[in-house]
Amino acid sequence: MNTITTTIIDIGKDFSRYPAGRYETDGPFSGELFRAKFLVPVLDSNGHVTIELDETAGYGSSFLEEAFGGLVRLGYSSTQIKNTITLHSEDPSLIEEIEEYILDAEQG
Amino acid sequence: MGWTQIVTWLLVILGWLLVNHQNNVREKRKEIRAILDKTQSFLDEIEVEAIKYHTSQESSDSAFQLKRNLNQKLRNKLDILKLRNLNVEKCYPYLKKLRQAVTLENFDTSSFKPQNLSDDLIKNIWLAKDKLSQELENSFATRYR
Repeated sequence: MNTITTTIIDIGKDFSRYPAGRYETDGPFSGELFRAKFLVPVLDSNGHVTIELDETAGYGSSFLEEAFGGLVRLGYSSTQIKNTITLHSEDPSLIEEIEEYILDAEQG
Repeated sequence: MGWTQIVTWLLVILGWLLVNHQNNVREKRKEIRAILDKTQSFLDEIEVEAIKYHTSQESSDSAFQLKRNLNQKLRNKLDILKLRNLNVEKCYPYLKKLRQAVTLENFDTSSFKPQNLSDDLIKNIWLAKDKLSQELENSFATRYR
């Protein structure tokens, strides 16, 4: 029987309280780095992850777009991303924004 | 005590309850209006700060403040209005659009380019801010029309 391990990633605690920038050239805590370090490994291992979004000092949309929309550009489908990643935030606009980036990236 | 006196007292009490209720409604309306006005002023500040950021000759340190204002601080203000029973649900998509207008392009980036006031990025910030501002007013008008 396959068991799916769910991990919780708190961006503010596990990555940075100050995520910023789209690409690694933009800074040390970019969306590109977050995607590579935390999201891609979970998708590749067929695991499940809950992303806690609220413990940072705030996000730029460029960070969010690259971290989540960038997954689609790497070849993961929106369904696969949806089934693997659960987003948690007190701010409904943040979750809506990330979902929008995933769908937009898929539609090209 | 005769029935006429009972009726008189009942009318006095009902009158007091009515006036008291109306006073409470008026006070609550004033209180929500004051919070809304502060939120509108805060939006004005964000707009000025965002335009300044994007039109500067080089990327500035205010990116952090902008993110803080466009995330927690603005959300907290909407949450306070929500706690006062103002229906601000329709404002959240506009909050998202404002955050995107300010921080999706040319933000927190090593390839920052100063914008002109006539550039689309700047116009989009103005429009997004106006729409959120208008939706806040709509929420208030719907509740107190």
